[in-house]
Amino acid sequence: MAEQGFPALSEAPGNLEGMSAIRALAEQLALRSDDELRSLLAVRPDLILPPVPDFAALAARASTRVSLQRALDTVSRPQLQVLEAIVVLGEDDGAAVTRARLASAFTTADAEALDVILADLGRRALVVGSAEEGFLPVGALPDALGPYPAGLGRPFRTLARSVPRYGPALVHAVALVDAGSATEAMTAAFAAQVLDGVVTDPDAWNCVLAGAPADAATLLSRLRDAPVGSTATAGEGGASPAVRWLLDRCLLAPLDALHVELPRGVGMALRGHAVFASLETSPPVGTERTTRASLRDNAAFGAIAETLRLVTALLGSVAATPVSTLRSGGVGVRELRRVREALGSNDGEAAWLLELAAAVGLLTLDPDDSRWKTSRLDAWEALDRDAQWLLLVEGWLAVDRAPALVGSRLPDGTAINALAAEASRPDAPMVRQRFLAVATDLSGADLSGAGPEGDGPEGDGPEGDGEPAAGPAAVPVLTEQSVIALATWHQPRLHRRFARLLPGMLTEAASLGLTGSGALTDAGRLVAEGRFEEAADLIRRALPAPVSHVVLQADLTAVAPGYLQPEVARGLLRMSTPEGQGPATTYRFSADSIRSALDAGEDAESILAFLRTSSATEIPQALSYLVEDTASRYGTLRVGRAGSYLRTDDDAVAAAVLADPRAAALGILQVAPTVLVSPASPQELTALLRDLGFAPAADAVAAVAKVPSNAAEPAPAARVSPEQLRSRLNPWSVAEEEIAAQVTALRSARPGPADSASGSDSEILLGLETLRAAIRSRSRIRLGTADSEGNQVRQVLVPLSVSGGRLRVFDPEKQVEKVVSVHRVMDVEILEGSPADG
Amino acid sequence: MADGPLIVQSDKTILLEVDHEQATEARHAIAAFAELERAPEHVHSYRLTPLGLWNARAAGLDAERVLDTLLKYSRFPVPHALLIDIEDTMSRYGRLRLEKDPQHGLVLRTSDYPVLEEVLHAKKIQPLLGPRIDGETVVVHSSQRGQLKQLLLKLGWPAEDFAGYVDGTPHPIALDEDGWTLRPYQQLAVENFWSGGSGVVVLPCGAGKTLVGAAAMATSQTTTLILVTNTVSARQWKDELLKRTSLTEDEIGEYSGAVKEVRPVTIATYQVLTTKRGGLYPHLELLDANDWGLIVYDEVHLLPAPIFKMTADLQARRRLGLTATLVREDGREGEVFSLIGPKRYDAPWKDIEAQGYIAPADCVEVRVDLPRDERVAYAMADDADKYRLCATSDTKSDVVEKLVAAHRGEQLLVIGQYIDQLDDLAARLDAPVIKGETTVRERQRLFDAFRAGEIHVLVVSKVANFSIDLPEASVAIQVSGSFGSRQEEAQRLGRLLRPKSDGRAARFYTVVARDTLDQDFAAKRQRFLAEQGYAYRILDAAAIGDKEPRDS
Repeated sequence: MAEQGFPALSEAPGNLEGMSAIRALAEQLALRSDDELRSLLAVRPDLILPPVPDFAALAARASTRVSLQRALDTVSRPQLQVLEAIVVLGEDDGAAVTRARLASAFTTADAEALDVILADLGRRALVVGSAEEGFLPVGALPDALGPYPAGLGRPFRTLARSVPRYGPALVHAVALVDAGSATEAMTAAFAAQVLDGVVTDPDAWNCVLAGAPADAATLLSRLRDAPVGSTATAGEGGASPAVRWLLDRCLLAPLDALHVELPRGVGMALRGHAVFASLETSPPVGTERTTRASLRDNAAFGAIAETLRLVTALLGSVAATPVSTLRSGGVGVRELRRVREALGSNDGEAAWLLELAAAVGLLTLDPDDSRWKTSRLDAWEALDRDAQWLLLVEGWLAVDRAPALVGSRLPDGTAINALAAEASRPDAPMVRQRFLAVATDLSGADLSGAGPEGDGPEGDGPEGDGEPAAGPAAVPVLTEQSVIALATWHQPRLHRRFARLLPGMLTEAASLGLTGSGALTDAGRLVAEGRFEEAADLIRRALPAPVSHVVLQADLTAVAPGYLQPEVARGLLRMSTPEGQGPATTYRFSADSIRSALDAGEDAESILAFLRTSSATEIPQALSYLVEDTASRYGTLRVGRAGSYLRTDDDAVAAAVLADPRAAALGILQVAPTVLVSPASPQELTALLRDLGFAPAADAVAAVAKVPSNAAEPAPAARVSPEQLRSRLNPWSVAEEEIAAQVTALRSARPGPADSASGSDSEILLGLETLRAAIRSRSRIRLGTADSEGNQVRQVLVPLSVSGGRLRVFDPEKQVEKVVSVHRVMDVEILEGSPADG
Repeated sequence: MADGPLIVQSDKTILLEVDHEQATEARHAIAAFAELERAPEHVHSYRLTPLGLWNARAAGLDAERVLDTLLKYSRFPVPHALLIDIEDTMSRYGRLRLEKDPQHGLVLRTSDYPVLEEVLHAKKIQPLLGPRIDGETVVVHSSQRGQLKQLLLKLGWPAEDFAGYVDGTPHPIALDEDGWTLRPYQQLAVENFWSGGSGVVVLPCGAGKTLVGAAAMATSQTTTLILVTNTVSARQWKDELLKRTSLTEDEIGEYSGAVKEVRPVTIATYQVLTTKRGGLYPHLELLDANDWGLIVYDEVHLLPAPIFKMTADLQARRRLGLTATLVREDGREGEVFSLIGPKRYDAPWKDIEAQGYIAPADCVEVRVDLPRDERVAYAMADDADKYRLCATSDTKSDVVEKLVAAHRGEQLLVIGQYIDQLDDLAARLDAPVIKGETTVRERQRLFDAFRAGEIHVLVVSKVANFSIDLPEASVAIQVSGSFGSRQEEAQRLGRLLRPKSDGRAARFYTVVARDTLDQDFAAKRQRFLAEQGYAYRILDAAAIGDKEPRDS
């Protein structure tokens, strides 16, 4: 299998032991076929962003910690297990891990599956090597996996170096554990070796355990999967006899007064002398729970109709009153409550709708007054409902925020507000994509209900659409646990994100009808497969056609039996107040509502005409009476705007002013026999009247407040383009053409592999590679550094670890540990001879 | 989705399109678990409440059937959260059961241990319970049966009561079906009530609730205590029982402010029972005066709060509640449910009207313009006096005269709130007036004369709101009321709904002063009546007169 699936590796020339892993990788990459290169770059696109000049640089970049971390995020649980096993076993002696040794890391492992995984990891450039020569992790992979690969603690010897007083303790421990090996002048390193020998030998280990206090075993098993624990929870305080016993024998390493670490050897002994119990090649299965397809569709289509209705209501409400934000960002509790009350929903739902509307650009933040506004109500209403749905779904998939986090608490105890920066999650689109993929996996093979093909238009019996001939009536339910478990299996490194984000996404998917009654809907499946238009098509056929008529009743209501055409709804909203939450809306007429329609320029006749055309029934007498009665008494008081007024007790004077042609220049109008108004200011009017020979006296006039006009120009609702969506899903994605161009460039550059590696990038990495090799083999190095004055310093040191741009070294001369910045390192030379701690 | 007649809203209302071909079927199906809230002409609306769902459980309906009904008849998808809520609510009923244990007496038993634990930890419930027998059973002090049920309902765990009833003193009572028979729906109501034990029968005004009471007594064959709203109503019950059953004058006692008789069948008013003297209820012993086998509550929706307290102590006796509506203005529907019992029968008003058992009604609002001086007086009056000022305007009297003239020859009631206005009207119409100070004997005489057709016009105050049977009244003119109370409106209209011998529709006029509080109240009334499904028109006073026909 390995030979077949991974020919380049088996042909790799040279000896892995003697060569740095980066060089080996560069050589090995150069030997790959174009197709293999393309597949590598497809899974690790960051390798060619920006483009690389040659294979050495490509190998160098593939070995960086950042790139490896990114690559690790995409490997599955068994792949990660194999990688961790290679790292754990490799750290023992720094040598490549052979296929046979690797298999022994698992109590049970399917050999064939292991080979497939190794081949794949090789293809991803995460390991180099072959079955015969053994495998080495690439570059900074051990760093990228963190200090506790496979959930195991550090080895005895590492602990001896880094935990104070643990080294001397080891020497004492040997006497307790294996009295035969104890000698007078024993070093900590040797003691660590002895202990390693004890814990890897099943008989010796059982012998040690036989003498343990009663609760030591439970204590140890508690640390088996997470090596660091607190003694407060591990036992009753540090003084517990079991803890004491384990500490005495160095089977626990004390990190501080409260915390202990389980050394790696002990951890493996507890796992049956293996790294993992089994290679988890099969993904976890979903729950047994099912729901009826009819119930699922009922829930999903109900949710879609409700969400669309609420978004429309939200836009209407925001158009009337923009949503203001707090100075600290986001929509405050009080403002959210206002929105909630306007929608008749709850806080969580109001926050979700705000987030959703903002995600698709229906709401925009006005930078001038920091309020969320909408100018797209008309554009939104002009869309068909399936187009509205599609807009929301695409926006949701692409938005780099996690709306469900709104309302949850930050570590400092404050709650996250809607539309606040704290709910921003750049990885949210990726998690959503994984969610849809997992949901599809958990929901079985194919479309179960009214798919685009199959189901005919005549399927509208009582339960017609829900019970197609072919599909099963019972559909599996997605639970939080099953979705998180499967997602974690696919990308174990993202477990925390999944656990935090997926529950909220399940709820959000339900309100968009991607799931219903807990099960993935057909529309959801189509969306998961990227068949958006087909999904929208399905929704269009499932949502009932908009109704164009309302039913008018004598209790002064109009009932819209379903989703009402937007223009009719708008007309009704002008003259009535909507009531009720759900598919149908009741519009209640009152004298006030009719009056506001009159204010908007309607009259009794136009109101009644509108009602007549949009009603399926006769207008009840009580309603037409209300309209006519209200209209007939409308305007008893009249309001207008004028710059100045002119009043007199003598209508003859008024008539004289009005008759003067010069007065026309000021636009003087007569509003009553003795009252004239003009848009001009009182001063101008007074001046004019004086000119005309009158003697006007000024009244004290209250200032008229200027009415702000808020004109909003409609803008089309924006859909997220596929490119935008792709780049939000993975900012590192590259198009196929780019990959092809890069492969061609690499081929043409081809200056022969390895030694002539050019580019500072790869040189630094080669230096680091040397350091890592030294750390693995515990060799001494001669390290050339530049000090703060620029003087060169060369010292013989023992490197301990390198990470985050800092190198920890041990100075054997002064017997101290220190930290050197990697950027000060000029050269590294491994000193031949025995290991530093030999 | 199906093209059904129902639209299920996420705010827990259900709209029913009346003209849909499946409407009748759907209405019968949902009536069992949803309360009819509004019934205007085209779209009725029902409300889902926990009580309604528990009523359905008490009637043997399970959640699955309810969900199926909704899904079957719904035109649009039913909100999923609502389905879950229904299932959850319905599963709460009956997890606790009150039972009679041969050894321990009254016990509370559960099939669900955590529920009992939750209940036992409720502070208010602890003192009502005795020792715990085992994990699922706890002894209940039998005197606390009612209060316990009340509190359990408040906690959201309504108990099902299987503890049975005392037999009461046997007393032979039979229906005297001479020239009349129990209507089918009345028969059904009694059967449902009897098999359920205790509970409430909901019938519209005029549908013959008294007869349901009488039939229940005939089934029980025991001494019976009947609680009614007032003395006049008590007399009517008595008359009706004498006429319709084998009971004789000697067997029926009246226990009211005026008379205090305790007989095998005793009719008492709420008022006398709730009279308090020196912090005590002196007439409470009536409840123990006889070993009652049945207690009938007339107009349950009006039951005063102290009666609930007393009823809590009567849980061992069969209780029948009669009402036209389960809606209480004070929102104490829960106490009716827990203390008297779940709804046992509910007849859609439209069905009964369609069967001809109650008369259709036509409501007309007549708007009068106040003359200028009255408008000024109104505008300047104190808030407290405003309603009286506009309601008692003289212009209304003119309109009433015109209306009376237009309906000459018909049996006509003029109803009002203010005595001065009524006296004035009585004088102008030359009609007798019945008001608070009118003696019971005099009232009786006038009502009899009215029924006999000797008097055509009767002016009455609010004393006539309830339970007065005036079958021949076909026109009512309301000139003032108590601030638009829905209850009052239903009752006043109810006076007109007894079927007319010639099948005529009843006419209900309300005279309203335009642009005043009176009109605001009228708007409420209009909404209420229209929601009840009555035809409602508005006319200007000017349009009344010689040309206003008797039946347009």
